[in-house]
Amino acid sequence: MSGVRAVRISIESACEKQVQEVGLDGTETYLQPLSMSQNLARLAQRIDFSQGSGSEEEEAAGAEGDAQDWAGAGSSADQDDEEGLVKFQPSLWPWDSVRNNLRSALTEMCVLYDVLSIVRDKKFMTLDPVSQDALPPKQNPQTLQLISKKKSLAGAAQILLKGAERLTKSVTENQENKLQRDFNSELLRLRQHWKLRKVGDKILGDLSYRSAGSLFPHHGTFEVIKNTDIDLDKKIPEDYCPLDVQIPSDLEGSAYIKVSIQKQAPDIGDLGTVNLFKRPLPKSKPGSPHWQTKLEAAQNVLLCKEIFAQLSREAVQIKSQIPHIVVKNQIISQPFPSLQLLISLCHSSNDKKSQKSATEKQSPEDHLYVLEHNLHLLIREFHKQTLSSIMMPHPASAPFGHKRMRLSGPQAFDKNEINSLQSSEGLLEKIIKQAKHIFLRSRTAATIDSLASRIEDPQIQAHWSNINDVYESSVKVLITSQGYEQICKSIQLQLNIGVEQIRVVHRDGRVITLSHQEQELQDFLLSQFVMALKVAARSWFSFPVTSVKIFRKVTFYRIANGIIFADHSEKFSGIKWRVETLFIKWSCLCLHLALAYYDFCFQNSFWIIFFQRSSQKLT
Amino acid sequence: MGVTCVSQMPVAEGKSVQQTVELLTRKLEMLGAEKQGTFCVDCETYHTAASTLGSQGQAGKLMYVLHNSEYPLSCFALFENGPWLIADTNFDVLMVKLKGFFQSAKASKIETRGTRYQYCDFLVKVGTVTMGPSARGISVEVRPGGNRSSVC
Repeated sequence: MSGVRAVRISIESACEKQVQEVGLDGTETYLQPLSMSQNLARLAQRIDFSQGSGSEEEEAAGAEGDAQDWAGAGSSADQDDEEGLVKFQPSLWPWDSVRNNLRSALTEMCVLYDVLSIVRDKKFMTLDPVSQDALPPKQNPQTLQLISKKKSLAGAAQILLKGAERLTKSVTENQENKLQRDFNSELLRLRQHWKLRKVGDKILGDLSYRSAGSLFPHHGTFEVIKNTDIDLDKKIPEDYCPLDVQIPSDLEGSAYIKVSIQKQAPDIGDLGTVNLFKRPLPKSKPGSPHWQTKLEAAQNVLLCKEIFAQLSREAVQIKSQIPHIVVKNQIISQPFPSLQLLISLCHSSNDKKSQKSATEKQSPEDHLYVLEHNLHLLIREFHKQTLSSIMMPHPASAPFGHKRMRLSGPQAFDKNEINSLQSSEGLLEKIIKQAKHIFLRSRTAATIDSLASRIEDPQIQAHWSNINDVYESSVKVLITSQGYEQICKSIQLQLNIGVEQIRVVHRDGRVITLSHQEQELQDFLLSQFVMALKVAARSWFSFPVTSVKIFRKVTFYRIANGIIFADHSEKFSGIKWRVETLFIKWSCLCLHLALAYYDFCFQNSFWIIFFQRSSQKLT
Repeated sequence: MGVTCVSQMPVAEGKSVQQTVELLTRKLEMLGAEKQGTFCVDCETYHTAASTLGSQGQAGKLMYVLHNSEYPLSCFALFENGPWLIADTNFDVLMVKLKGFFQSAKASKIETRGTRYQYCDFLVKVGTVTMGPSARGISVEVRPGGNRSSVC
């Protein structure tokens, strides 16, 4: 309606004064409008005390009600009241009706009060209930309760729903922001695993083992930096982390200690070659963040460095018969002649350059994982020792050091005793001993196995003990001949393989110590084989004759190394004898054993010769 | 086990202390004893300070503090006719702290220094006793034990 012009509306109040009279000359005399108190009086007169007596009276003229206060009304009320009652004139005072009505109300109230006070005493007046109809069915109050409960529950539910909505909103927000993790929350997670401290405006952490008892002088501090190179417009990558750790440059990459035993003599030309190889990184737990893997790898590098530093320090300081050679990242020592133990620290950094050169194949078979593990255990033990209660002084004011060293002063230990306290094997010595033992054990097992495979009779059984020490293992060797197991029970040997020697304990209690030479063990076992055969053969001679068989012909047995004669004469008769051939195929000795025996004394000579390497005669 | 014997060797006539000591050591070496290093035993004297003495003016007690290189981590202290004590080397530091009660007579510090020889089963120590700058005598200690060498 934009084309229509606006209409002017004028408003005028309609409160015109009433005309009282119009003069003859046309002038109007207005009634004065009622003042506030007049108005109030007018309204008060209109109050309808419906029960009471108040009859509506005519409105009084405004002039009478002029300038009459409440107070004035109150004081003159009584006078007017009495006058009004006596004369019964229409009262000229506008509050009169109000007053009358109030008075009558007061009267009624007083009556009621008196009645109630009398009724309360129950002496002169009592109240009797009026018989009522039967109560309406109880549903009404119950439904009322139900409705009210429903309403209140609805109100409570509303509040709860509101709260739940808020929670779901925040959860969905978190889900969305998961990739955009807060720096502080990530820092909190980092703090749960690593020690952090704030230096100035930098956050530094400690990944060394110093708090666990290590004495390695590396500082091992890493720095935590905020990852701000994130482009918010682009899609945030899956593995985005607002936190990044900066590890010291010499701890980058991964490292491990390689322990291997080689049989060749040390080649002087090969010394100094650095073993660079890349072992596949140990698999980190799938849920762990990338800084965790980084820090763990750096800590491992630090530990390997400490182990190697300790080993090389000892290699140089300790005096041994054959000195240990320390070259670059390798320690070469000779536990046994013609045996070489190589301990090397293999540290591969993550540079692309080194990755290319590290493609040389390393034979994993000669790496003794057991010893590497033991090295880690030993260094951790050393750490724990520095923190143990033997080192920690009790009382706290006593000087640091081993408990017995602290007592050596007051107990006047002389030099020998002090030396005995202090001397303990270093890491290198322990590892060499363990390597020796491992080598000796594997060679013993190989010897036994080779003998078992070469020689078919007698049989050798080896029961290795499951519970071993790092420096000692034991194996129980049984040599039996087939069919003579019960009799050959006496050939039981217990071999205790130590660091440098093998101790053999016979069943009858004899103890023999063998050195680490392989040949010695082999010869010894072979001699035991012969013993077993001897026992088996002897049992034949004591075997009672049960059947009679007569062989008349002479049997010749041709064997690889000689000839066995089994002869008999025909002179005697009625002699129970039998000849049986007992074939014991002994591939290395090629022996066919033919046994013949008589019930009574030997009248014919026969001889059994069997040729074997050691030319033993069995009679 | 065994008995340790400490005795004073008389200085040979016409010779100084040092020369006598050299004589002795040469004899030992000719016998076949093996030199095994040096030893040192010293003794410091402390007397109780005047402030701790009672009003009766009793004589101050003397305390001796000894060190022996055979027991490198220990310190021995004894009163003249009284109790003795074996302690850590921190005892010296303690004595410094107790300066108020014990005054050291620095001039009366005696020590004997020399070489130790291992002769078969015996350990022989020949030492020069000095008090301050001057040599006072020769002490010889013989006891069984020590690191037995193969040469006998």
